[in-house]
Amino acid sequence: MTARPAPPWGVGLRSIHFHEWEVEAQLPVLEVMSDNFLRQRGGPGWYHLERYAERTTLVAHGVGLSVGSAGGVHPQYLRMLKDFVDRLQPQVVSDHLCFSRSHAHNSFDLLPLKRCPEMLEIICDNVSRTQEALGRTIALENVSEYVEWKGNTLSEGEFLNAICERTGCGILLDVNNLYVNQVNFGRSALQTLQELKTSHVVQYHVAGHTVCDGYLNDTHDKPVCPEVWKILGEALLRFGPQPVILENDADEITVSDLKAEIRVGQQFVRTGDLSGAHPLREKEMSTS
Amino acid sequence: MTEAKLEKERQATQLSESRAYLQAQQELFLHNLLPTNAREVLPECQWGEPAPIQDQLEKDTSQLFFVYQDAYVARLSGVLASTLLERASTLVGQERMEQLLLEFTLRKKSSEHLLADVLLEFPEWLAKQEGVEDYLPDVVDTCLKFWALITGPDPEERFPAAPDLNCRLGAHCLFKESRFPLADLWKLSGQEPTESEGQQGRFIEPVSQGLLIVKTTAQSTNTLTVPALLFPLAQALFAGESLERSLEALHVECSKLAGEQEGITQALQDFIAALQQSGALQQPRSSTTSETVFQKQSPQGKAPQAGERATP
Ligand SMILES: [Fe+2]
Repeated sequence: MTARPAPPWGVGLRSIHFHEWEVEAQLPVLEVMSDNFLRQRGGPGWYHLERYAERTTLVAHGVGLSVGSAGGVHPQYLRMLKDFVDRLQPQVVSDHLCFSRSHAHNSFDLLPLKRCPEMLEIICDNVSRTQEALGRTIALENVSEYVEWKGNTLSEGEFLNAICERTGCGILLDVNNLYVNQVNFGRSALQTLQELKTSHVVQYHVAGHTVCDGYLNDTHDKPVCPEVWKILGEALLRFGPQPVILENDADEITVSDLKAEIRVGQQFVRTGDLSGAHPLREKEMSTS
Repeated sequence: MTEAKLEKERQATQLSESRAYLQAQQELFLHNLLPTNAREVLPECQWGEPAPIQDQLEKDTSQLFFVYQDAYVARLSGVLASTLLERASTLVGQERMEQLLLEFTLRKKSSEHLLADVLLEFPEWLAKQEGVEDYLPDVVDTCLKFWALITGPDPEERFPAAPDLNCRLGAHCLFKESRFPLADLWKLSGQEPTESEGQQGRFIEPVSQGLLIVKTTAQSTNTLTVPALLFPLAQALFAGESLERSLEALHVECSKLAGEQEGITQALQDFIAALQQSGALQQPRSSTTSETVFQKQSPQGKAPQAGERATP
């Protein structure tokens, strides 16, 4: 077996855990949800961020940029994001490769894009405007999808490569989203990994999903399943040990649960052993 | 015109046409996020009838469009009820709060950047609805202002040793007056739902009460009860007036209320002591005066001592 390179591990920061991460032994990376801080000038959030920043690497992750909006990115949102990024100076600034809004209507969701040359033009234009406004490069995350537009002419990998090559942005590779799309549409996750140019990936996400009747839902409230760990293993071999962020938004999740889940990932990366991972249960596959 | 220039123009036209086409497709997708059943049950729904999205989607995937509709509903009701409006949900119940949020948010399309901003008009809307708990608009409004307070600047280190006439309320304070016992409701809403369950019934009596919240550190607040008699003072302070000007405003109002002076003096002493102890007051940046409030204003000439009355 080829040895997988050991990445730095971290979690998506949630306000219910602010205090615990300060007293707990630190992880090498913490991911901050930028949208939660765009209006903040102080408060418990910043109080803790400033303390974490002294001892750990922070990466910023957003949900509101809507980089795939055919109507363009919103200048007011860019101004708020720039304020945040300038103050925090995170190592990576990311958002999703999706659209969430038009000028008149915000869904607050990550909606799928049509993968065609015309959309590519629009996205590259939006990414360039964003990078210009922020004065730095950004990374885009591949999203989970539940429907596909008619008229897709590019694969997910080709689409991401083209955006990176034309704008200089990076990829936040969510391996759970690759797996969700593999089950939902039969798009091979491993093939997408093969398509992506190795230098583009700057960060990873791992997360759990819910097995529903005939599809997977990217709910972020379950443990990471063995199939997703295996895709991460392949990704690490191909793209190298970029930071891996565990996303878990379950209500009852504790810091020690998150650490235990990270240990499962570390064990797998080191030895290939997945005995501690949450197995995809047959029952769940057929009933929920 | 040269061949190359013509080609460039043709490309530009094509791009703007395809942009407009893709934009229309995305609008259609957004327009279909309102679940079909919601259109039927919501009168005055501002969404209108959409063209079906299914024609634009790959046939074998279009049946999962409901995943996006469900997520939209969950985000605008469940998420907001359990986060920003957690305290209001404690008082009326999470399920009821979600129902009210759904009715409000699904009527209009939200164009705000941040989810929290969707609720800016919610208190006003609640106040117009029949069958909504009378006190709820004030509690919801306080929830929204509380969020802004707690995520806003931390208090500056300009606390006076004693209440000075030049003191002002810091930007780390929030005041809201109400026709209901808002301060009591706020304290109750901060308890565990099991402890507060069934207790809100006793707040339907319209007893006016003000609530003053003071952010003490990045992570904690003090809550003060403001009696109705002192609303003019708290209003003036919250509007940025000095303590001296605010006392004058109170004096003007008090002169209209014959016979209540005695009660006001006591309430005033208690309140100013509470302001001082809770860290609400701040010295102006270049304060020189040392005249204390009670040397000038209090008939008794006695400033309350720290600890005489615990900050609520
Ligand atoms: Fe992700």
